[in-house]
Amino acid sequence: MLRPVKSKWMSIIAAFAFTLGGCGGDEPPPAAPEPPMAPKVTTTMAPAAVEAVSPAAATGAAIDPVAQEQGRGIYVHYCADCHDAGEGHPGTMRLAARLDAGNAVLTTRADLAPEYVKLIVRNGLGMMPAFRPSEVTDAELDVLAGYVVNANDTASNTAK
Amino acid sequence: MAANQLPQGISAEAFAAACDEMRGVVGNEWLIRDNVQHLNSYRDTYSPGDIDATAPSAAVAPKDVTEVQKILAVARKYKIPLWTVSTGRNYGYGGAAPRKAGCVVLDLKRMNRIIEVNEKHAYAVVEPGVSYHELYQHLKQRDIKLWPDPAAPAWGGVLGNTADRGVGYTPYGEHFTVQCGMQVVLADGTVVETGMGSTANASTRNLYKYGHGAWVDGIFTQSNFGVITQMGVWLLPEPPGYRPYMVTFPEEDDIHQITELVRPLKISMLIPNAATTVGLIWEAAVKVSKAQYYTGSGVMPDSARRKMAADLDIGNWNFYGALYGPDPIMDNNWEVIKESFSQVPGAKFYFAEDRKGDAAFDYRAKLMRGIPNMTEFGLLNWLGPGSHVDFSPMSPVTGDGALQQFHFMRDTCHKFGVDYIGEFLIGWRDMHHVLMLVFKRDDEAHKRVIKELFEVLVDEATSKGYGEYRTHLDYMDKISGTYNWNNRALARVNEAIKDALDPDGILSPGKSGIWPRKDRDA
Repeated sequence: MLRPVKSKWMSIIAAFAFTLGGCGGDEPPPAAPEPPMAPKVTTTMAPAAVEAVSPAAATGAAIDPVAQEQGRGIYVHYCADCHDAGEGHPGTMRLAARLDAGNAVLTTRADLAPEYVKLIVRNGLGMMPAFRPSEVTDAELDVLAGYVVNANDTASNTAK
Repeated sequence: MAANQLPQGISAEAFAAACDEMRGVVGNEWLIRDNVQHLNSYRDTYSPGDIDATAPSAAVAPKDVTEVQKILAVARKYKIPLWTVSTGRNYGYGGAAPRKAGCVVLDLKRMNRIIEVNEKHAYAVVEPGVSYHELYQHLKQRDIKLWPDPAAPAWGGVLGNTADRGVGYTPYGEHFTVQCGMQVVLADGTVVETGMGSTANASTRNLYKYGHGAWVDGIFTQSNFGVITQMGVWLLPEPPGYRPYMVTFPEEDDIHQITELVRPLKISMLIPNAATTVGLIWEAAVKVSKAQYYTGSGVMPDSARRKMAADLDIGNWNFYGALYGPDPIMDNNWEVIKESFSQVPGAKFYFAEDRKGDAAFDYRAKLMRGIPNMTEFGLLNWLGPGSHVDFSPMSPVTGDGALQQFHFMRDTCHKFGVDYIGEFLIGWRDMHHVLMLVFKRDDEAHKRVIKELFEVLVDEATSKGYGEYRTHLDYMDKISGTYNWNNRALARVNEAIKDALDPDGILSPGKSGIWPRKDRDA
């Protein structure tokens, strides 16, 4: 189940709340359209495309394994290189310094709320820069946040 | 905040109309203006300077060449300046932000197709949005035995990094050298294929760089003469063997002898890859922070530096290279390399089995064999939650050149109370001397120090005859101003090309110090 927002984050979320826009972003990027000006194409793919997005994880419903798997894919693509466990991961290193080693790995933290994850991805925090909607759409961000928050509760919490 | 920002000289009404037309091209979602959070994600929050001075008015993210052409048509109609980014992750140089406030970011991240991977001839053709991570995963998932050559951060773009003349660490580390074939959309909407791509069947589009007549690919790099929408890059076939190694050297002034020894090994290609001579703090900072060794103000004292070096079993300089090929070739090359470096007193040699669990060695070993990662980003932990701006003069591969640059850059940094965090990236006949100026992102006083230091470094480098290869938005005018021989002859060539290809000045005004006529006159 989705956890309630922990009180220690409430003030931070409130402080960022004015930046939360109402703009849409409900569609994942379209998959690999044929380019009209590139006659020499031999193969195509869309490496970053997410096939479909389920809102279940973001709306507080029971954990949807399909959404979790989609979220895990986005996490592995955009987050894991900095936030996985172990040395050589700058985000984990920073969080270990700022919090403690037990709270340094995002996918095993128990104190994250989806709205907080979304705020940090869009705004950046400390050494982490923001991610643009062209990289992670709002719909993908919902699924990603759901995954990060719930990863510790599911069997699929390893990002390898 | 960036809300209600307008391009310079454009009325609110005209800009609203232009945005409406661009929405009509890309759809409502991909014209980013009213959603302040989305728009702010384009700002250069890594800058030590005033980020309002580079705040965009909007961003537009086309999905293909046709949409790029239509956006350019709107920009020409309303005289809207666009600022092109590919993956937009060029941190330390500006990220996704424009040189000038009010530009509309032309965000090509959604154009993320890997158009072709050719295993027979060992190349790929990519669109601007493809990151090193994505190209690597594409090859890995298909078990294709070709290596990309990533920049240090995995999120960097293959096309964008090459267009900004970035470097990597494999034998293909000089990225623009291994570029072949380019598709460019000009400001007037014309799509151009360069080189062999312009022939009828283009069978050698990505195999032979030059075609016939003037070769123009270079003018589209670090410039604003067109929008590159496809690029061919050669990929390194996986060699039968790979052995990364590190050699540590104890003293700061060893850089002279190291560099003299490296030059013949690089020119003869006994060291085939883009090797690095890494300074102490650069090597240490992916694993430890300054506060673990020194909590005082100013520069880390020598005693603390020596303690850190001893704890981590590293040197004041740490040379990284790799052997590639069948075992007999690697064995023979290693004999020559080891004999060379053994001339430096105190040199110590390490292979992967000697550095197990060493995050610094691990990420270098990955980069030199084409595996993207984010470990080097950990340098920004050195002072706490940090950011960086890089000062990168070119150096000849000579002991005198390296030592002179190291001394003046270190001493200048120390005058400002800033640690020298540097490395030399050794090319075929040159070195990129990269000084990473790490600063606390939330400390305005520290940012001011870094800005002042940067200006002094440029002036000192210029007085000594050194030029930088690449720079942050805030310093593009200053650096381009140092390339001023013969009454700015080179700059005047660039301006003539700019005026001819982009008379409305809609493409990335100010990139690398190249301004459209209307901005030069203003």
